[in-house]
Amino acid sequence: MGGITINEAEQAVSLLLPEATYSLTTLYAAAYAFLDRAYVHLDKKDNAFVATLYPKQAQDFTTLAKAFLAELVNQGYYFAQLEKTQETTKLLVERAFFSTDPALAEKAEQEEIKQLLTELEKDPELQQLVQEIKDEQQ
Amino acid sequence: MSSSKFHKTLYPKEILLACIEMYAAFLHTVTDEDGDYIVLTYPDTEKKVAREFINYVLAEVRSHASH
Repeated sequence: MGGITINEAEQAVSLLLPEATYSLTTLYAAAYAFLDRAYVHLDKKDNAFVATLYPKQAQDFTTLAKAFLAELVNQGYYFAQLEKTQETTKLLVERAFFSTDPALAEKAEQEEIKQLLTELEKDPELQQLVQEIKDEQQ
Repeated sequence: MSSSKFHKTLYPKEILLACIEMYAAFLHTVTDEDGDYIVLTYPDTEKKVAREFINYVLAEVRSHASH
């Protein structure tokens, strides 16, 4: 399998992982998940990361490498979903907090109204409209 | 005698130095720099301890990266 190199002398297996495919966050997370199974060393080579795994107990290197690739996919999916659902999670947490203390919701509402009014005051079309109304009243 | 090379973009220097300090009781290290790398040499250390150190550094780096 391309990207996997076994070093029998060092009892290690290395994986070449393109930076364009795997983010550093994903790589750190997958490596962290493997700390109980292997000693993990990370490196960079051109536009790729190199993860070297030294298994703590005797096991098939290719199987270990494949398990690491699966963990990378797993972590990559997790972070992609996390990013996708970040806004929804934030809303749900805010709502949960507000439901326990209505004063917080009221305060947030007031803040939002204040912010909207400030934005509206800056709108030139609205300023012109206000001026026209004032002129008509006079 | 064994050694490890830590790429500076993957292993921030300040975290690595803090880890060396934390492991000082178990691991005697000689620190050097070589371009993009920080090179650690372990003159009188068992390979297993040095590898445990590598895992410790990785755990620390990951912990800082997620904050």
